[in-house]
Amino acid sequence: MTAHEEKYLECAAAYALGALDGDELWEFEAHLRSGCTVCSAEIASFGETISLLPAALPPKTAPADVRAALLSAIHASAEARRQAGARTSRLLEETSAQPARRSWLNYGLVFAVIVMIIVFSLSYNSLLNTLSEKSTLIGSQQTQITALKDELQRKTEILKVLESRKIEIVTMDGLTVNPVGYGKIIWDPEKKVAVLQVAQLPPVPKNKDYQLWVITKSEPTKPVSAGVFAVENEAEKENYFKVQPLEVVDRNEIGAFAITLEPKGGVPAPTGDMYLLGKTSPK
Amino acid sequence: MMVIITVFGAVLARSPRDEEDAALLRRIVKGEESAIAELFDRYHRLLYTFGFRILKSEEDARDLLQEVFLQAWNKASAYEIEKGTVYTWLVTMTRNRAIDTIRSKGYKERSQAVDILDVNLIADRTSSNPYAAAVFVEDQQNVVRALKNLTTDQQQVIALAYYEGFSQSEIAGKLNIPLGTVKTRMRKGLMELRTALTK
Repeated sequence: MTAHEEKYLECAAAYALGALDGDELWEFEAHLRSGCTVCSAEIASFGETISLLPAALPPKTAPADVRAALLSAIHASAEARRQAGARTSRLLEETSAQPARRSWLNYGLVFAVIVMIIVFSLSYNSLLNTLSEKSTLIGSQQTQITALKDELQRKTEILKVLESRKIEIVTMDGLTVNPVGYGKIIWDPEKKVAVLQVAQLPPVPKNKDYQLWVITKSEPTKPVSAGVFAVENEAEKENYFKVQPLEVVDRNEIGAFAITLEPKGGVPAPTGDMYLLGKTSPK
Repeated sequence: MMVIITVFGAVLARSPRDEEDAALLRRIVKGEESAIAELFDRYHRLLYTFGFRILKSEEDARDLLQEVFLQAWNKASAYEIEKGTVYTWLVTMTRNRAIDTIRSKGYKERSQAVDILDVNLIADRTSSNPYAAAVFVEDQQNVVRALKNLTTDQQQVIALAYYEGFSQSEIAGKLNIPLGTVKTRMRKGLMELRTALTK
């Protein structure tokens, strides 16, 4: 608090009369705000005194209609206030009634959220399943594509063999274990590549493979393996296999081609039943 | 019954009428229109006279009177009894509104034309009691008696400040006297009034 000084009491009189101005007004109000009880009391006391001054004025009579006008305005104000109060009351009543509605609203909202979660979960799971199925399908299709690419590659290579100008063909017939089977060796002696075509061969067990043998004229008891292949299904369908390299160097040495059913991966010498056999024609 | 309360350390006497005024205001806060009518009947003549003294216009004084009582109706809940009587509250509202009006552009020009020699605080001494039907018979007599004890110079600076809305600097300029003299006259005049009115 700014210390009380005598000069402030002089200010208090002018302040009570509303006549203090300039820097003094600013300084005195700051002094009052600082909490000077002496000056505050002085102002209050002067204020009560000053308020009595109008009592000494020459009297004037107010217009007669001012009372009615004032009371009419006040009545309108009171009416507006009552209406506002009534509206407030209604609002409060509505507000107080709202908790039940709100609770139902809340329950509704909770229920809606739960339904949304369930629907979302179901949708999500369905989506996951769909994605899984699609992924499986895509994987399957990719496998098929890979297989088709391999098939295309194989057939392209077979086609190249077939396109050779000097090919020889050796037909193979079914034997006792599978008389309906048949096959062909399409052979390019210069490039030493061959294509094996088989049909009507039964699918091989999982632990078995068909094995192609070249039987030479000089050593017919010692067939030379030309590779293994498997017919997994669709026995009636024709299957083509590329045989490369065909290790037999001399075409004239080849006496026949045979196919036997052997253990998976093939064996050095035939051990199983012979399914197809085809002899070469003399050159 | 006289009630004594303390306002900022100052001891102010509250008359039964002050208590009645406070009761009226409490009723007004409750929205009783009859209470504001009663308050109007008590003070309208004084406040109209006061407003006319400052504004010098019957029409403006009439509007001012209505505005003050409407403000009392609407702001009754803001009244703080410990800061003064209802009467002082009403007079202060009237004065502040009136001074705000005369400090506006149009009134400022009029106020420049105030004949400072004609400014006074006291009614025509020969006139009959203007508040015979009102509540200020005793107060009016006391105030007039107290004002008669002031010097003309003291009455002049107080009247120029209170009724004409001039600042102390403006008064010093109009009267061509030092600012300190204005301050001294104001303070001494108010102190003598207070002493005379609290006897």
